Amino acid sequence: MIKIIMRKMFVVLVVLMAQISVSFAQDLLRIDITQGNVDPLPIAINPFQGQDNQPSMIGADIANVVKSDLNRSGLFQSINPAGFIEKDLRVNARPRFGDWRIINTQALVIGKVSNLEDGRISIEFRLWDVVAEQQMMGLQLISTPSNWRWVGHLVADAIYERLTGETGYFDSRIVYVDETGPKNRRVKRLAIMDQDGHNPRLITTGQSLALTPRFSPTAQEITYLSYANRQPRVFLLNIETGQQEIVGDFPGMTFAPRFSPDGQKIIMSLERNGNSNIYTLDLRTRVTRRLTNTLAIDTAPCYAPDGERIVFESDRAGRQQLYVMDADGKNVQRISYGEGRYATPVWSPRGDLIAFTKQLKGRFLIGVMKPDGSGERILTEGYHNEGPAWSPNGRVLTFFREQKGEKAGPGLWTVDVTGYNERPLKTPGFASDPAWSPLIR
Amino acid sequence: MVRQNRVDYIRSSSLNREIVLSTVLHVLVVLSAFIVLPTPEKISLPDYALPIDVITIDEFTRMTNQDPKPETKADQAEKIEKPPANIRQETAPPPPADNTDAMPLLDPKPAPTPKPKEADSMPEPVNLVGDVVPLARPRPAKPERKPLLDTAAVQALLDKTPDLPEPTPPKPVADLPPGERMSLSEIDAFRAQIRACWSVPAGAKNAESLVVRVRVQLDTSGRPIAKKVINRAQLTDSYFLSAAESVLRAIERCQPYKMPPEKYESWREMELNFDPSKMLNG
Repeated sequence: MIKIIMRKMFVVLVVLMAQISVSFAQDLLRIDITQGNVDPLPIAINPFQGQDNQPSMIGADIANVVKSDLNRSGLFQSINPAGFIEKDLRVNARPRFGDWRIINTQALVIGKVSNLEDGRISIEFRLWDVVAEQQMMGLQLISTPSNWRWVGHLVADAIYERLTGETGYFDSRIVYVDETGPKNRRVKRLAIMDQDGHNPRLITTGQSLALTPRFSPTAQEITYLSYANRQPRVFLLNIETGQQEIVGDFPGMTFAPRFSPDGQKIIMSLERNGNSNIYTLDLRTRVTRRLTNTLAIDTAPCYAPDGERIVFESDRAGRQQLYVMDADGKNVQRISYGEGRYATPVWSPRGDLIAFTKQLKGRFLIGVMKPDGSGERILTEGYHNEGPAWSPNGRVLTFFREQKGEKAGPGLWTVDVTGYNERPLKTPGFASDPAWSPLIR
Repeated sequence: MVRQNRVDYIRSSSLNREIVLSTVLHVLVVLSAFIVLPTPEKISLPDYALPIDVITIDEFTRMTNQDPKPETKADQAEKIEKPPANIRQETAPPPPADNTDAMPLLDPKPAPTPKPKEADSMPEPVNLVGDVVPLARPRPAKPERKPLLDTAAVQALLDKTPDLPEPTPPKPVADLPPGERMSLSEIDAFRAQIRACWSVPAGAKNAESLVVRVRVQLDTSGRPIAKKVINRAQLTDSYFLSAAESVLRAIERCQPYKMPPEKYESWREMELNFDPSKMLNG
């Protein structure tokens, strides 16, 4: 009897509470919307016009760079110009928004290129919110005509920043290891290219094996490992001047050098007698400092963007797992507890996530987790995926993937932090171990 | 649904005492809900006009005022370049392993002190022109940027705020007779309609802080005549601004909303909470 009453009460309570929480007991109808779509934002990018509204080669080229940058991000979908209704657009005139809404555009870019007397060009563009019928941004850039590709990346960054609220990343480069030759005798050279794969160039000759390049977060400088005469050394290389120096010449093995967020230190692991511990090296004073002291293999250290904590991998508990410690080596805490082995942790420049490689049942996965180890998400998996590196805004990861087979080789890929928008990054040959530069500006 | 449950209950038990008890409990639950649930905070809306703050060109381009620093940018070589063949100086001998390296770890006979020294000096670095192909290139000047300050036409645009009718304050929904209130399925239908148009800022940092609360006023045909972000203090944050703009676009794009016309009083003004944090578990 009491049971029946209790059950009845419960049903009534649930029904009433559901109604109340949605709407009533308020002055206004209140509705929560927690689902939407993750489709890319439709954007119309017109070829930038030349003088007197004539078509301009360089204007069309710039617009194409903008288009390809925004499309590659996966957050935007540029609309095919064949469908544009309004033609003859002027940068200083208000567009006919109705014409753009019909073709389902949400944002509209109109630009022009004009020649200045000193031989430079001026690029002006406006970004319009087609739905709200408002200008979102207007910007002018002045540069030499040969810089058109760079200008395109800057325009794309400005649009991306205005529409997403995040810093852009198109004005950046990727350094990677170019691989040639048969699988057992690979020549590995450092190469660098724009983030969209353009302008690839080799930067070492291949006389010695070059490995694990890492960008300074503050300068156009990289650190990498070079094996000459089977001796690994940590090098520092200014990619603009080509000047380089050895910063570490340690008997025994050195692994995984990486810059601190202020660019003043290098953190790495040094191996001796089968143990490996984590050290920092001050680039100005050349003083080394030992941070871990275990009989295990501690390696792949990476600073948090605030420089206060360090994530690294260690097999101190048996299998490779991820650990976080304070910058002085104290307060070590294990953060990964999932199945499999965790390796190559990289802290996002945004600070909110740590990317890693995970080995599970013979497969290699790339994933992210929060710095406290919660919220693990796998972004991609396959036969061999490794070496994640963050874009400067912490939104995109690049990594390398290798397929099975004698003739197969590694190639570079990118994936959005949401796990959507996985794409190959074209390189002239096999490529591995990518590292993303900070913004060039 | 409540009524249906009651009928089932009467049929199944037919005990008057339980009916009385049940009725009393119903009333108690309803009353307690009104007492326990907080009354919503009153938000005064002096105007219904401005959908969102207009951001001036200046604010978005303030970075352009920085001094342009000359920097190198990769030029337009389209093919990968072979390193020049004349790099002979790369045979410059690597520096010999320096035995003066006094790092404790490398000491073959560790000192008896249990605690290793934390800091030690390293050998001087050696410059190597060695294995590297210099990237010396003509250094193109970095593009200059400035805001596109312009014409009266644009200024006029920015100032162009449509005049909206001053609405009479709506009746509290709770005061409406039940027949004029939106049913759950009608609310779900509205939700589904607007959901299709909302491009969620997925993957943004701290998505849980990007909940956009909007007050929307609709005309009888279901078209928005005014909308206003309630938590506008957050609009200074660029992530939130983008999220808010995505919400305002969604509201515009999906109109007109298919609402039951006889219940206009209940939906002529609504508060919508757009919460992107549940779209990803990250």
